[in-house]
Amino acid sequence: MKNCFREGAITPESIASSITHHQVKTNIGAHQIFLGQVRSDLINDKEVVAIDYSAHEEMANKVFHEIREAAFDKYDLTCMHIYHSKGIVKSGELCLFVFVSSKHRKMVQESIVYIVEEIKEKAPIFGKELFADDTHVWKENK
Amino acid sequence: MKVTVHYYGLLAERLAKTSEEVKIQFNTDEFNLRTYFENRNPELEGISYQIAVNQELTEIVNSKTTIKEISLLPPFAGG
Repeated sequence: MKNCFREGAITPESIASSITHHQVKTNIGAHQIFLGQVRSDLINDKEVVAIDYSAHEEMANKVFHEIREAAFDKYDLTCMHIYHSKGIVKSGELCLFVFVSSKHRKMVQESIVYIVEEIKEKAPIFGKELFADDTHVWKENK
Repeated sequence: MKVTVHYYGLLAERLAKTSEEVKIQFNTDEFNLRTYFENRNPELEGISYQIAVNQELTEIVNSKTTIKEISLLPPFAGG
């Protein structure tokens, strides 16, 4: 089972590298990328400075695999990649990278929405929202 | 049967542990895990969580279920 987790923030350089690697696949006509970024929410007058992500990693990787299989069944995709952070990711840094490729734009535009919503609903990933005063709350996807 | 239970996120924090071994005894054909855990750990009451058995979401097991692991999963926050 592929490990989709990366320690810490997902770097812009890794995203550029991923795009570069796909340039050799000349049957691709369109890519769509989703980037999840840690937002400095205000909660009870305190600003979120980072999120500390943890997960049931084995189960989450299995869920990512199932989402991937379902996406390939539902949409005519050439490639699909999911990467999610674990550990501390600061506000403004990236925590989720979803990259889909296909011959035509309609498939990637539709599939990216499906994949991201499935991840948010089904992946057993947990987020501790950290404040500057060392207190925290636990994040819940809506 | 003896089973390892894993706790995550808010639940691990509340219970001050990430896993423990528990002994589950089946008196009936259907066994409700939520009821079992909330009787065992009253501090779980009022906390939202899901239960996974062998990494599949379910709350009910029976005598035919081979349980390799149980996980208590607080609300998801991925992405």
